[in-house]
Amino acid sequence: MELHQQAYLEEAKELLSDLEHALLELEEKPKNDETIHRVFRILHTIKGSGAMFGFDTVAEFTHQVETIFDLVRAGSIEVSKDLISLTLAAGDEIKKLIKGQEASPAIIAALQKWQPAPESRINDRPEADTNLQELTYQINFQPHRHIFENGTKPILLLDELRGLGTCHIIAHTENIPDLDQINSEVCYTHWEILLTTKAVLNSIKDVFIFVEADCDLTIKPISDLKTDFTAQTQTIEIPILEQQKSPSETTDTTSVRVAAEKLDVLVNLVGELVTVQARLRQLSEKRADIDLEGVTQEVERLSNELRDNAMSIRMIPIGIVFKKFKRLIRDQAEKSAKEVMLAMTGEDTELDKSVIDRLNDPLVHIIRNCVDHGIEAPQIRLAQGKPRQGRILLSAEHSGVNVVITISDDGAGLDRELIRAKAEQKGLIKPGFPEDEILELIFKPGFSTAAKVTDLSGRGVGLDVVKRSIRALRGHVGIKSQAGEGTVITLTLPLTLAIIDGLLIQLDDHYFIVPLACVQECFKFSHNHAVQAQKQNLIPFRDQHIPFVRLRKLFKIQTEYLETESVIVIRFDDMYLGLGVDHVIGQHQTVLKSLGMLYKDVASVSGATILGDGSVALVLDIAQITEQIE
Amino acid sequence: MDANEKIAGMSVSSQYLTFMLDQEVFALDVCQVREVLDLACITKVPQAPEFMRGVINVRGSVVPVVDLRVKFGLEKSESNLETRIIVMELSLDQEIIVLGALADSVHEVLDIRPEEIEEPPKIGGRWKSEFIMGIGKQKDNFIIILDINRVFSTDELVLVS
Repeated sequence: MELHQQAYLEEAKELLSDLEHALLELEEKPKNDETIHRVFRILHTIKGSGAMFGFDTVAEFTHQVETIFDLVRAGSIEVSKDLISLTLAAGDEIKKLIKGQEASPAIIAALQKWQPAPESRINDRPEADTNLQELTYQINFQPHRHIFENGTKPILLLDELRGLGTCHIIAHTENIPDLDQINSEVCYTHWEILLTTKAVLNSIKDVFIFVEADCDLTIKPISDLKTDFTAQTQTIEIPILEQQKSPSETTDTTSVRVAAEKLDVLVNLVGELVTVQARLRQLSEKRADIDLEGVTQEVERLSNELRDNAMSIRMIPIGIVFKKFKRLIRDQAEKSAKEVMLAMTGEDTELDKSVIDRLNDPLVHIIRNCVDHGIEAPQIRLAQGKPRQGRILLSAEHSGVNVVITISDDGAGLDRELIRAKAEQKGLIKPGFPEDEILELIFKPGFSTAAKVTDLSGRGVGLDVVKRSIRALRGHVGIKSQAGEGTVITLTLPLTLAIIDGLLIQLDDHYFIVPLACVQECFKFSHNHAVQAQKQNLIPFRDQHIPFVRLRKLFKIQTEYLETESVIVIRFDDMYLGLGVDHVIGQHQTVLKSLGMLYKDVASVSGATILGDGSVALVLDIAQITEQIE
Repeated sequence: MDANEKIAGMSVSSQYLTFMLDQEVFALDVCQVREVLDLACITKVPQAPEFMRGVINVRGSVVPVVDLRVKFGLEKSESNLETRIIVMELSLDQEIIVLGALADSVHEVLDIRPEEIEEPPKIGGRWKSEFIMGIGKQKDNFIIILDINRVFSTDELVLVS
């Protein structure tokens, strides 16, 4: 049971966040019936499974909210901003209840106000139901054998049906095997119910709402009881026939819930496999045996596919994170008496789960800053000829091996002079600090230009944390701002933190990996050319000259240069850069390993990988190298 | 959890791994030692501080290697057949870190009873006392028992200048 309670907690967490989205959607389109139904359904599920798993206070509390939305559904209450705020608050309250805390009396009182008076409720219901006469339904409820496993008690469902009207229940026990073959955890019984009720078909369906996936259910209205018996004999056979056909359909689930740790284990195993495969490849090249080569290629192909598959399982759309911010922005805008709307593009962009998990906090910091310091108060905006409502745009898109996330607002923007003054006052910079680096200062620890400290941001912590956490993800933060026009923050993040395609290069006796997706072109050129290029720090590439640096120089490797050197042209953020290396060895599947805390300050290297011969090669951090060269 | 408990229970243990650095005998609590390796090929990390010699592959994990001599302000180690890498666990900012340290040579695992360990001298020593957990006496020899967590939690040199 504990396991199920755990599952309920997880489910409830998801449901509550769904509830939040649905409510915010409803606020935008208050007349949308579909959304109202969705809200109701979510509340109903929270209540129902809460009761089922022993969270009685949750169920009781949610019931009150559900009652209100039942009336909304019936059209007797209009959706209003107050209602949405109250329900959002109620959602937070449910979160507390689930954790075993008490509900705040203020919310309960507020909910009471919305509750229908007993009479009006009676008036309400029949009104909606007047067109409905008393009808008889034949319900065939055939639970799947494993239904007990998730804690469902069919008896409760039957009791609920009894509450709807006159009910005849026939239990079919013919499938129950002999005593010695009975497995007490399997449900062998199915039921046939004749229900005479005024309730609409939907409210009968609602009874089974949690077990829909775990049973075969047919509900048929029967207008005349007489014809019923003939009908009954037919319908009994049909479900059995259907059942024989259906198993493949019912077990054909579209998604499976898997613990994230299991996926991590899978990816780690694939990582090890890839390393072993590199060893096999090396061995095969040494032996020059055709049979061995054949097997090697086969293993290579399989492990590549396996790798891509395992990685794709861990990919989830960024929209999951984006959606959470709707509520954050709403609450914070309310607190600071501003009006802000959130727009999103590219929510479908997929990123590795481990990246997404660690993206939440930095984004919270940035968005809080946008609302708090970026967007102006409505009067100020109007005075400046901007629309009353501020706008924050969250967007995500793929760019090579990276995903670029942009957070832009149309607020006040950053005042370079104010930042300069502040930084000089704090002694962070000296006079004459270059203009184009001023904006970067807001990422320095302890820097804040906010005039007053608010509840949520402005304590001078925040953006430096953002920069650090994005760096920890091997990502990179950029900022652009025009005073009066708004701020754009870009986060460039790697798609994955586990396995990438790399290009193996050699410098003296050191090996390095360059992420293949950054590589545009490789070519060789003579030592003399390289010396020439180094003097100018430029090389010709296609029709232009691009910055050039020899990695030996950057890494201070002192040994003699070779006769012929290689150049790899990399592209980062629309900028081309030539890197001079000794040899380009070839493509290498790179299982990324962290260098750990001790090397966190080393800028040019983002990780390491293990080569086929067991030695370690370092993975170059192209973003940082580009920055250093700039 | 496990590792934290281990570190908390450190004072109870009385076994120490002894090793040489510049003619002096040092000791580490065995609870913090994972294994001792022969000198392998160390991959140098560019642009890293000098005492960080690079990284090695320990059964599939990448482990950083530090040169204790440089960290302690001595000359860089000249590696020879006796040189060993002591792979140890230490806790830094509440995180458990695995780290290899170069030692001139590794001797043995010694039992040193708590009563044989003295407080480090506050002044007059060659080493800064805050990095020393105690001085173990074994016959006529002194063994410097290092507080290795402290050694790596600061950027300072360990040698008194």
